[in-house]
Amino acid sequence: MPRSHASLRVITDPRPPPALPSPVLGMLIFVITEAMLFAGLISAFLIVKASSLGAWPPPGQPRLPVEETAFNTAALLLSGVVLWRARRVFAASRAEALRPLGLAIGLGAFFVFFQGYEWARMLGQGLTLTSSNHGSFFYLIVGIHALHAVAGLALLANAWWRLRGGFLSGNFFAATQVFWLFVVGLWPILYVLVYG
Amino acid sequence: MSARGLLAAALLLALAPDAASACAVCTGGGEESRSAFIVATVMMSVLPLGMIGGVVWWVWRRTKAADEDAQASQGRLSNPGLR
Repeated sequence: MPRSHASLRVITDPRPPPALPSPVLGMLIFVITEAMLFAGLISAFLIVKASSLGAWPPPGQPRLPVEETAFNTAALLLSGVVLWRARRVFAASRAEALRPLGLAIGLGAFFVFFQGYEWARMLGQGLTLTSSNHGSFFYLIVGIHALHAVAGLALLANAWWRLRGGFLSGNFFAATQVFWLFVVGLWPILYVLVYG
Repeated sequence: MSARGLLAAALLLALAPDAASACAVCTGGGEESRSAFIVATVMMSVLPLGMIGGVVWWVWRRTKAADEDAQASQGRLSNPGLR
């Protein structure tokens, strides 16, 4: 077949574009499974907390850094908003999305490092995985969320690198955004439940 | 155990619901603990259905919008005077 005919066949492909791109659908399914993981953890936490005899957190355990983490929560939420903005900018002008995407990564990295700093402080005050049910659930739930945040940051950094090289596809960016918005949207729920 | 035996055991459990619902992790048994079990059960039941339903609804909405766009462009092609 002549080359010009082959090109023409691609252009006039009668199939409609998919309603939901495969990378986004795949990421949504993954996010649903991860949401169920967190739902299981939250269920277990609620039941153990309600069934505990006496006060919660148990006496002798350090107080969680509620105010400091509220500030950190604001940084993470801002990161989600900036990423949302970056996606809109990307649709209009790809090159201009580099800065907001970098800012979203910076805010997300700040959240992870600040959480690590708070963890080090809590460990120093005696709250460990084995010190009580309170400590076990705190490190398990917040730790798994932190792992997701690190994975999300790696994805965002990959998207930034692709955008800088000029080969970031819209579908990859959309899938990355779905995952990061899951990480951002889940955190306030965990914050209210675990720190509240 | 025979089918009749199983049926008799199920009926006996139905007559003693408290014993039937007891489990190894129900240490408290207070009102707060009972509420937590109900909240957890509702959350674990509704959440997957809600999320999958949400994705299906979103895909349906996007497909419908794409179909409407295709029909509108088809109409413009067959009737070039209309914009």
